[in-house]
Amino acid sequence: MMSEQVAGLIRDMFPGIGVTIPRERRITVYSTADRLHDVLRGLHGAGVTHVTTITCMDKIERGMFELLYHLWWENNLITVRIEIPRAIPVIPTITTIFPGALSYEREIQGMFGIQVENIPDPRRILLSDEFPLGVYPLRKDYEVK
Amino acid sequence: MAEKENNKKIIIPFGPQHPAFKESMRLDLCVDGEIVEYADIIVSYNHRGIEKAAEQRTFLQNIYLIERVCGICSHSHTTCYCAAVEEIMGIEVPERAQYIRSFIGELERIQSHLLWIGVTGHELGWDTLLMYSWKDRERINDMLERITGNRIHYAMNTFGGVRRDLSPGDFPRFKEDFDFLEERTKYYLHVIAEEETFLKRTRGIAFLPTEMARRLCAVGPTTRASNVRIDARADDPYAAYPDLDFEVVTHDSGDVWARTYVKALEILQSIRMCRQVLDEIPGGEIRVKAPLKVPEGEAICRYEAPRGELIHYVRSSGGTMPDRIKIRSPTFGNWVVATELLKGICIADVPIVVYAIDPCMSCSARITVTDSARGTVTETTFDALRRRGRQGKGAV
Repeated sequence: MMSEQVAGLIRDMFPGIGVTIPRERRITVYSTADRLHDVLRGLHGAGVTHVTTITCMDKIERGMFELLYHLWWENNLITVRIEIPRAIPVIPTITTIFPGALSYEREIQGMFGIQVENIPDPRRILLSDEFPLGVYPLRKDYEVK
Repeated sequence: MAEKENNKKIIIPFGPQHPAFKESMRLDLCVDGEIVEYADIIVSYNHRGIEKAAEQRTFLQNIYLIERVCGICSHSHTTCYCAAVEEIMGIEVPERAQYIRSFIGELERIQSHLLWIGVTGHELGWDTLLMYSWKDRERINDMLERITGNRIHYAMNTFGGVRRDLSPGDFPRFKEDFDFLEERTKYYLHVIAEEETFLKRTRGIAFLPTEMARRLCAVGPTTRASNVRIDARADDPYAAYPDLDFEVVTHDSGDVWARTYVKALEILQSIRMCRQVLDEIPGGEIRVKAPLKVPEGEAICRYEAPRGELIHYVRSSGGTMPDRIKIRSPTFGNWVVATELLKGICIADVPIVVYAIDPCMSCSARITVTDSARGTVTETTFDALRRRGRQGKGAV
């Protein structure tokens, strides 16, 4: 599908939602944390099954974490963007909709300290057993020694 | 070793070190007798903090850092990263450079798949197949060394294009090498399709249904062997792929055999594309001048690495160093699949099922047998387990 078609479908599914097309085969959807599940469930209902990854960015200057959920569908990479406060970094799991996203949720949990509610496997990933608990290396205030 | 009892659950850790692989990972297999009940995969052993390290280095320095994410798909990573940065810069890479990037990328795919065919033979107890395929693979390594100066970590990419050109004087020799490799790959296809012992070890093993492959977001030859047609070269084309003719190889068997067959057929498709590059590569520059500073912006690039979909997200805030680089390599996307595939299989099939997803992983020689009733812990070795698998011997 052409990017304009996919963007149009998303706008029809979620009236009022922000959708941009940065370039061909790339679509950005601007959502909020409380709408995230509705948006992803709606996309899943439309036929989206493939989560490519979840990118997290530490916007320390604004006190926010930005989360990008990258989904591949109909020859377009749809990136659903949300922001959550750094002080209360809680987000519900999306593995109930996309079971394949488990590794990516474990990664943002371990590397950024995002608390993913009801994640099926909450164990830390990627960091060694000796790495201190409660320390999140990809946050901007973690200094590399 | 402790004697086997019918009700004893055994946790067998595979990992984290193995000389044949590029990363360290551990599988904890809970087994009941010969059957794996469930598997747990621990992927933390070779984490090097590259995403964090990339935030401490300039964009240009990061080409050399990111190349070392992986040894066997190093060109995949730098091509994907450079393409993302070039998109933020708003520069257009010359056509000749795009062809060279695709050429090196397909050579990388051929050598990766040949390596994998050899390791598959090794894990099934046929070191002859390992020796044959790795010897053939030397042709590709020699080509890569002739073009780039290195057998791995080619340092070909830079912002704006590539650093070295192809020399037309090498083309006749390259074409002979492709003729040779095509013949050898057809031989391997014959072995895969006809050799009875290979079929017995791989047919019907670790079946991944199409629906499960989609649901668990599998990537690469693993998912294409379950009839999921996803290939970034075709559905999100980059470099020279819009101009190159090739088939996306899929199969509907979904078992270890199908994953092997798909990879062997992909080698033929790669050879086809490489020949096309040699015949049709346009003239012109191999790079354009890139701006010294990367402007503010972000880009996401997808690349079809030998193991599957690779994605690089790059965010620049206009400084000398990136604000964020996010890399999701294909194997990381397949681990959830691997844990499902290991359920219900025999211990003897664990090596081939794990290697069938073509992981970047290492595994160790240490296996712990825990007898909770007696409170004893004993150890055996992975080599002993592999021997058991080849010889069909009894329990641990």
